[in-house]
Amino acid sequence: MRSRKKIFLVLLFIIQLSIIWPVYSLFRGVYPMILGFPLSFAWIIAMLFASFFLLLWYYWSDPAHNPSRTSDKAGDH
Amino acid sequence: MEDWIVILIICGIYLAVTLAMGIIPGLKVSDSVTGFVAGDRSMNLLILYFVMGASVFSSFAFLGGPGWAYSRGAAAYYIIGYGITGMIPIYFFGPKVRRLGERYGFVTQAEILQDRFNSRTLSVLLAILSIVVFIPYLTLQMKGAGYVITTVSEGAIPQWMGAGIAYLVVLLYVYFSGVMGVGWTNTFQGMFMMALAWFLGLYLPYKLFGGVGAMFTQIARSPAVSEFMLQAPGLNAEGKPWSWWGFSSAVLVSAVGFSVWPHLFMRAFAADSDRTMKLTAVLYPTFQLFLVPILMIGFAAILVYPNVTPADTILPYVLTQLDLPVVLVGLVFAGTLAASMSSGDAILHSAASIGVRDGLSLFLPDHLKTDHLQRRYIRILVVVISLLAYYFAVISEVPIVNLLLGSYGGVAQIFPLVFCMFYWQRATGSGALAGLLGGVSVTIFFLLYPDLRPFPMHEGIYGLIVNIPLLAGVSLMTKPESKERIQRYSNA
Repeated sequence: MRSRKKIFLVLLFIIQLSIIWPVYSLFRGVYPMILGFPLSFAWIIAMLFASFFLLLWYYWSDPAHNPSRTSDKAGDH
Repeated sequence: MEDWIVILIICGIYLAVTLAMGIIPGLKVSDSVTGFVAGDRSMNLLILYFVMGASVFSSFAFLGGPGWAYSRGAAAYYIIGYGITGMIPIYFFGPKVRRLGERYGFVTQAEILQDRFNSRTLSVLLAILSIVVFIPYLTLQMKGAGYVITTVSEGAIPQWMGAGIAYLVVLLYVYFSGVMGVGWTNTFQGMFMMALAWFLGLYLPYKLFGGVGAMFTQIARSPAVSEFMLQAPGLNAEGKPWSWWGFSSAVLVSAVGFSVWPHLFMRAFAADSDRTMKLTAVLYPTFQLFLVPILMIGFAAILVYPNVTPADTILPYVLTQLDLPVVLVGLVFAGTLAASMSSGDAILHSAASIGVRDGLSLFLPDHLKTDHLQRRYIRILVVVISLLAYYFAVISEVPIVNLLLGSYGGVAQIFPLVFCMFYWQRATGSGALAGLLGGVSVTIFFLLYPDLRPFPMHEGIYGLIVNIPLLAGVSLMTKPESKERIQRYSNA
């Protein structure tokens, strides 16, 4: 397995643990409020961004990435 | 003119625009099963992004989401939680599924699993499982639509007629245009829902409290609100603190099942390229983010409108209490209709396609299952399933919500099969059947007898605990599938 994939899977695992017990239980409280949101809510939103940027990085760093690949379109148009 | 008539006119205009947007794109796809079910494999990123997003966000999100935040507080973060990682598997298997579909003509989830595991029984079993979970899902969407129209008309239009009108529109565009009708209407409906959700979610805290921070501070300080309201994992259905077992297992099961819901999975066959498929998965969280304002609608109502029951009615309740411009109220109700219809159409289309491709066609002789005839059967089934769901929505008294609650656990049992399809060459048809049957049976058992669960975890977790060892054990005890078959999948 390439190290890029390993890093991805480890970070994904960390994010998954962060939205359930046990990691999320460390950030379960209301205070400190972040940008007006209770900590528990802000944490979930932060994890949503973390997973978004993780997959975005994985997509951008794909060595076999070939954006021009499109299939022949079947049909009558 | 009375307010409710203005609101009803706005909903009517919305329905007419949706109908037009649904019918026109169907004129462009080929007159074939691939055209009807997979849109000739021509969906671009914009359409696929909205199809996936808007199919997920149903009337549950628009009515149930604020309802959860209002009655159970932080427990509602679970709805955001499972989407954080749930769509990521699609990034990996979506492009493989797409390529195999293009090469071998698959258009449904059961078709590809049937081919990999060389088992027609598996296909029939998946068809039954899909339809059993889809009909209650569709029924609830219809009820949601009927409820919205009855509320805005102040009872002048009864629920049966409201649900009937909204779903006649859905029936027409799904019947004529198949998946492309679903695609274009979902793009329109998705943009509409997102705009409204962000507006309302930011406007309500500002109007009622002066800002988001002020709102949460007041909820946290209020002696009338449980101190566990804003603390994860929030409250359970009885209003007591929810357990971490319950919250964590619900997030996990829903995340595992998310990417293999048949109506989402089969959109991989409609993607026009690998890049489209991957970027849809990458961009999905931007859709998921719109649950944040949706939940804020519910939080905004906690202090200002206490004791509204059932909690799912909190959004329409707030709208009728606030002194909002009538056009805006009309738009929000139309947005709720959009949420119901954009999920209902995808489910209706998938249920009919699966019923014919994975169920009926396996029992028909060749001359009765030509491409043209199959397309006709799918259309007939679209009508039949609509009528069946409509019967449950407005006539039958069967408590169908219970069926839907169990469906997430049931659908999650498909995930190990999809994973092994590509990543475990030794998995066999018998193993897949044993795992799926065992997993679904255990899930149903613990759904019916929740008191027998050793730990208060979601029943789907128990299903997976049985499913995975059965799949592995029976596979190892049976003859491997042919090399040529396996290589098609491991090299996909």
